[in-house]
Amino acid sequence: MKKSIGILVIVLGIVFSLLTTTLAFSAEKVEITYWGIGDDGANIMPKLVKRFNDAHPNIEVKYLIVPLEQGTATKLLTAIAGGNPPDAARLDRTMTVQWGALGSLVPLDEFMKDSGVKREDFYPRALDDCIWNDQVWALPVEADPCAMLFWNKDLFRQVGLNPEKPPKSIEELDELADKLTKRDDRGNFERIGFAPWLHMGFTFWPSGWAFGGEFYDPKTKKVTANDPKIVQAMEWVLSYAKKLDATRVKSFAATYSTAAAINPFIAGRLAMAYDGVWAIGLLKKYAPKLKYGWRTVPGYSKGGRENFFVLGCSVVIPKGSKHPKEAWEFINWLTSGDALRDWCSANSYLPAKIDVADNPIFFRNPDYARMISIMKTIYDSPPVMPAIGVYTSEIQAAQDAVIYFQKTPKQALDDVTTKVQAELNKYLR
Amino acid sequence: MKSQLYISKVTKRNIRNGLLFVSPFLIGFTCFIAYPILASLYYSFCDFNIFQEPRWIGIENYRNMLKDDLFITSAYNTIYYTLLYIPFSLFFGIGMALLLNTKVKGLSIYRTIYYLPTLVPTVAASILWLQILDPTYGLINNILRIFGIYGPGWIADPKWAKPSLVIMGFWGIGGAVIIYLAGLQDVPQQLYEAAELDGASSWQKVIYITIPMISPIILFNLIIGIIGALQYFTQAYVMTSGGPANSTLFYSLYLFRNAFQFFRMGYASAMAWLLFITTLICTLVVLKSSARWVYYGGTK
Repeated sequence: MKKSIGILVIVLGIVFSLLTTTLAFSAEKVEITYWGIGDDGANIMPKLVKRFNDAHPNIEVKYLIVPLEQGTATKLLTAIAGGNPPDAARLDRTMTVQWGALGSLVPLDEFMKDSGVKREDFYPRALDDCIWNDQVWALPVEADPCAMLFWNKDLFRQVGLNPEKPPKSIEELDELADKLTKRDDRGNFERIGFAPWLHMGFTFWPSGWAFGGEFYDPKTKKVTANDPKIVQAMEWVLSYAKKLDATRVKSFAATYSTAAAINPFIAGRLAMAYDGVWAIGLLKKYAPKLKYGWRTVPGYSKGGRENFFVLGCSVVIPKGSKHPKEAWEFINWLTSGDALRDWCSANSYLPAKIDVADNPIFFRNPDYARMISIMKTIYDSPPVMPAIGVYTSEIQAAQDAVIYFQKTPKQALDDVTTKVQAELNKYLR
Repeated sequence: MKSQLYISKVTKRNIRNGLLFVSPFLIGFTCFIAYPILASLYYSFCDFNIFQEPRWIGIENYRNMLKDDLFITSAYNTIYYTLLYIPFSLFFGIGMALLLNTKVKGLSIYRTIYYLPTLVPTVAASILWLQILDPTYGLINNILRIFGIYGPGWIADPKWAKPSLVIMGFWGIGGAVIIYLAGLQDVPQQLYEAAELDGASSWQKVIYITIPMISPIILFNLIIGIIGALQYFTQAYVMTSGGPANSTLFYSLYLFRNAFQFFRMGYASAMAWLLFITTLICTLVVLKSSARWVYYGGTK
């Protein structure tokens, strides 16, 4: 008995002394943690964090790199659910509205008012992506054009097309794609003109928008995946699947993946493709001699429109953060001025804040300058609603089902509409 | 009578000490294993998105499973994989063990080579096999091309995706082979000698002596194999994300997605419990049937 009391006293003594020392330290500086989910290791972020810490003596930011997942952020989710979240984190913009609607994030409107940050400071759709129930749940960081129509000028020249004249409409795109597709005597592809589900086409959004379709009506809060224009877009995708045989195309393209070093477009095997701003860097690195051009995705001439798919990340303050004010200081700093400019130029991103984008660093590059001016008027992003996780997954599966001839376009899109609407209704209760 | 109710002081002390020694495990087990499992049973009857309080909805999650076509697809994919993989894995496993039990030169080298793949971490193996199964530049199709065969799209073809994963599974069969090998060492030589005297052929020796003698090991590998196949996840998550066209959407992968991408924790918990009960039933059926075909050697 005496022995066990003795041990208990010693253990309590150690624990107590540890607690008091940490309490003493925390009284001086507020320590906040920031999770850079998906950040590259050799990146500029550590330097930015140091710059912030030096400029703000009462706040110390601890930076942690967290790996990126596809469609999920399990580490952040479990941290918030477990009551032990970071004070700030980087999160894909399409996820912010769902997470906000679930009550897992801290709304930022009050902070924005106090710091004089106005909604108009950002590209309109960039901030819209983060608003649900008229509350701002995240601050956008970058504006990444991710589905532009790239075309290979060399291949155009080879088949006798004018390399400076990309297709102006979907119909023209179809014509050119046929001219550019080449098979060998066994019927396998040597070159494919275009396939709407390759590269960033796997998301299906750009194809839907090209035919003038809208996937969601924010006024009625109705999912409109089976809108006649979108069904028309899916029929168009199906026509390519019939012409080319999706399995053959997937085998042809399966060697390459969109984010890895080579892809069919860079290898000169795909004449036209939906791809993102990162393709410019990849082309420079892996195919410097390839002459290419890019433009907004052309629209269907009868009722369609050109579109420009822009995505990006944002920063959020998870619910349960013990220092939301200091966290706000950090994320506001990170998404404006010099910090944002340096982060974006180091990673070849474009900033989501208008005054930062109006910087010669970005205008020096003719591609970026074009993108920035396009984004002022044409800017498309996936529907802003909490069921977006299910919507993204379902619409991709629908396109897959159509190109592998498992479902008709109308059937596939009807299923998506029913499912996603049911999911959305849970949030509207 | 008195002696039956009376627990001696010594026994009492032993019980207390024993419990004290086991207490760390008991506390850990209760907190980290038993409680979460029971909690998930409760959540399976709730609508729970992890950030808000769970809402009791009775058996609605279980009812919705039957209406959910992705659930049916994922169950079908998992059962397909299990039925395709298990029989072949038994056949190849035992066959390979028999081969690795022959007295040839360099036997230990062969055994090492065939065991090495099991040491490769699953994620690394998945990325490696993405290359091997590649339709245009992969190893398999290139070798087939030498013989003039144009291989299918393997992992990129909805019809071939699951068989590709089964083939990939055979690569890691070394673990089971080692266990079979251990069992083969225990088969008494006299049985083989007696059989030879009676004029048995090699094939008959295998069927009538070897297999029955290692049948407990086969039972073990069968049960472990079924449990593993029903929970198949990592390779699909890393290599295909359920595609193409949901042909590799396995049960565990769909469960994971429901939990962490769609925030349907209640539904995912219900899926987990259904998987548990299914695995339990399969195991019991196999065990029950084992009385007929498993021979435990010994004095009887």
